[in-house]
Amino acid sequence: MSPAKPFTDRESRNVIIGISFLGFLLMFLLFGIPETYSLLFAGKSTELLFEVVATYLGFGIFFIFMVRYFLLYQRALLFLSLAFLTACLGDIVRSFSFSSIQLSPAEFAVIRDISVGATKVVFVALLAFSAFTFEKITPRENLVKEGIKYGSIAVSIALASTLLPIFIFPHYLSENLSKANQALCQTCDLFIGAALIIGSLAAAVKFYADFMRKKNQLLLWFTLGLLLSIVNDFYLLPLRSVLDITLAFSLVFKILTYTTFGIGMIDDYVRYLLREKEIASSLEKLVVKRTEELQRKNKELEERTKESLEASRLKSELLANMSHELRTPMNAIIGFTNRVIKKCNEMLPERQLRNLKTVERNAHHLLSLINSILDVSKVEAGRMEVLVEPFQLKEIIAEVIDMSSSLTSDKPLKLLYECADDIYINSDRTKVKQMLINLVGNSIKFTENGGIKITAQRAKYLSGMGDTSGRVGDVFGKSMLPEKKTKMAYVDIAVSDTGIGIKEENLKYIFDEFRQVDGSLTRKTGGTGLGLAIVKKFSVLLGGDVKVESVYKKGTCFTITIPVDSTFAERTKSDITQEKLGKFRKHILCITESPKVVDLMRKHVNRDGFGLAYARTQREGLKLAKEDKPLAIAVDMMLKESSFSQTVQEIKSDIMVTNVPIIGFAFDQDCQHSYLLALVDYMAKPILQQDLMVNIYKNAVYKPVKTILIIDDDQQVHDEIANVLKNEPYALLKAFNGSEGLSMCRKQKPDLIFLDLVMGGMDGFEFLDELRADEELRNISIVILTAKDLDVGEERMLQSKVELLLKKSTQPADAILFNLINAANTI
Amino acid sequence: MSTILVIEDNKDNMDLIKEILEDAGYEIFGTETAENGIEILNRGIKVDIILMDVSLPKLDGYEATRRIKENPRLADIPVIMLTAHAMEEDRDKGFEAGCNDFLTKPVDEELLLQTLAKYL
Repeated sequence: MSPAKPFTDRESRNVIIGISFLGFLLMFLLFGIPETYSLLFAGKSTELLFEVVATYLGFGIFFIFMVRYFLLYQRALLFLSLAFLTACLGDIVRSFSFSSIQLSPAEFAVIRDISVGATKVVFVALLAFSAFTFEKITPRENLVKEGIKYGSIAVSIALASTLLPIFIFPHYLSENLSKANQALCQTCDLFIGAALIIGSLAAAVKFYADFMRKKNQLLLWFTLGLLLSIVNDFYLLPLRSVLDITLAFSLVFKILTYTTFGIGMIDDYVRYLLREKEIASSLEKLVVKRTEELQRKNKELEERTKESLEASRLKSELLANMSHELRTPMNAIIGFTNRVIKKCNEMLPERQLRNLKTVERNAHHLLSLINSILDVSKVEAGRMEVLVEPFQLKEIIAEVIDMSSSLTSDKPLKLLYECADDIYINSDRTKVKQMLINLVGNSIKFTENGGIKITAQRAKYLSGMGDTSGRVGDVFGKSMLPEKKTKMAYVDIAVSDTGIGIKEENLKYIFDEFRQVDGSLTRKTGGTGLGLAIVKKFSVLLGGDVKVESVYKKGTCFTITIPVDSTFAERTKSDITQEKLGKFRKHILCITESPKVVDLMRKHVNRDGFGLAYARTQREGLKLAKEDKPLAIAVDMMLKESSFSQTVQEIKSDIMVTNVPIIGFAFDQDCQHSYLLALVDYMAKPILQQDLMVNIYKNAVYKPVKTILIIDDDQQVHDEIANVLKNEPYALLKAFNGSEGLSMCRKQKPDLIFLDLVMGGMDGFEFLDELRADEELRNISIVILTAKDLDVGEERMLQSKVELLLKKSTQPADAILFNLINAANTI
Repeated sequence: MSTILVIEDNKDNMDLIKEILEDAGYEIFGTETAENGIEILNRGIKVDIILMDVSLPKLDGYEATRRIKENPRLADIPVIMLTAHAMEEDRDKGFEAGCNDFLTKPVDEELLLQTLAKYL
């Protein structure tokens, strides 16, 4: 049977208020009032009256706190209140015997001995037990067992010490006790009294020592109360021959003792209430702080987005203008030259005609240069649009071969190609074509004999990927095209020639802009020096790459490797914005089966400057998320393959992505009505981008303010940790024992807990068990910080349950602090 | 003989287009601003096709095209945009404004004549 859960402070308070006061009231009504009445009107002394009132009050208070400490499983304090309860009970019995019942002297003596002597012994036993177990760790299950054990020991000692004289000296009960026996009895009394005083003193010293170490106010009250009780014990040392005046003094001190302990407990309780209030207000402050931070960050982000949008706009405006300004005069130059050549062909002298043709050729060259520069700058500015459509690769290759054949007219070159009919790709047709035209054109330029061949085939994987910005991986494991059910992810398109080749040392420059291996060739062969740079940029843009192999004087082979599906590379204008945001460049991963949803999602997400990666299944999604951690994962709740909760579980159970927030959403069939069901708050809303962003901010931007809960009963430790972490972006929560920590965990869900093991009340071990047993809280990281000497078993058990175990006894303080910061930074 | 309204603010380019088109046997109205162009159309001068530059002073080619297409009397006249703006988004903007065709400069004589022939 598992032990019952301890109550929280708040719950215990309610139970106490409900039950204890009722019990106390009943007790007072039944016994207290009649007794007070009898004392008042039977003309007894006023000290006795005060004692009765104090006893009943004390009894009530101790009873209430006993219930409270029992509910909280604060063992030491429970025994302490039990001790006082016993003492009070003894006093009540005694005063009862004084006032209302007529007893024979012998009976009176027995009652007196038991009530004063025995209860005192029980009292001090429980007290000492409490004081010396304040620090000791006992599992809660053993609480009752141990209580019975220690309790019975205490009771038997008490009974033995008080009843022993009765059995030893039968005459003890008679009035005329012999002088020698009387002296013996008094020695016995003295012995008990001395034991009481020594026990109390030891407990007081222990409490005081604990107080000095922990600065727990309650312990000081206990020390003070015990000192007062020791004075009381001194007065009562000669129990059987105590003078009336001494008794009166002792009563005063007893009242003071009870009062002190009572006040101490009440004070502790009030402190707890105040602390709770303070925690509440600090939480409030934290919320305000976070809200402010969030607003500030939003504004910052907005400004940065605006700035980068502006920069991007200026850049593209410049590009557009440059293009326009350069092409306008080209229009007149080419147009008129062309016309003159056409119209005046016959009239012009041969030489002038040739000159004019040179002008025309150079004008065309300049134009192609302008166009190439424009292409390169567009890719660089992130303004090159990718238009993805499905097409047959073979068809494109045939077109390229056809178009290029005119360039070979003056050379004995064979143009060949080899491509399976069934290779369909989902890519940008124009760009693939242009890359091939560039490569084939390049080959023709540098090849005098032999031939040029284009070979296309499926690639199993993309090897030697260099710069692949924009690549988020193989999005679909298979082609989207209905004709194909192949698993291939990439295609290799190789253009090989039997030309002059490239020297090895030049290979690395081959894709740079305006780089031609032999400068003089530029003039001879023409070309802009941008052809290969464009090939490189386009292939990367499509999510692939290009590589070159060459044997000098034998030939060269360029291989373009591009994904079968470049859908993810499809760009819209705002994609560029996010790319330019640099540090803020983040993407959101969408797991859905519907391409429609992806389009919609992309629009929303792009508008906010975020990129979108997507996957069709949970498995693919997880793989992608691990490769490139997204800002958030948006999961379609209508996935056919796996349920939403499964998907969430799968993602959350993976250590690499467990902290990525998940947003659930659902669309209706025609995407007319769409809902965003944020996992964080499960609110159904129309998918306004704002909502999406709010969720993303809440989870990603907001999150850096992590919460750390420190559970330690030592204020000094709290201060130290707070001091160490003061410049780090953490919100610190404080708790002073396990149960406080637990209730705070439930309310606040901290990201990390620094836990002390040895604490009054619920200790670290119990706390750990509770936390790990809690479905919602079990994943919180815990760092244990303890001064306790752990045995091997304890240590092994702890290692398996917590993230980090820091022992003050074996590690230097600096190392511990370093480890703490480290732990905080890695949550 | 078909009449073509050419709106082009660059004099050299205007001369070139005029030369090409006159050689091909068209009658040309040339104007440097879109306002004048619209004015000509509003006066009821019969125009079979409009060749519209995009970068024009004050009223630009997109806006002018939009106005022409919004006017029910003129909406039927085909508008061919002729511009040195060669980026894809310029093309989109042109079609959005309502142009019937879109040609880029430097003008390809053959292509221009073929395109015109399509509408006449």
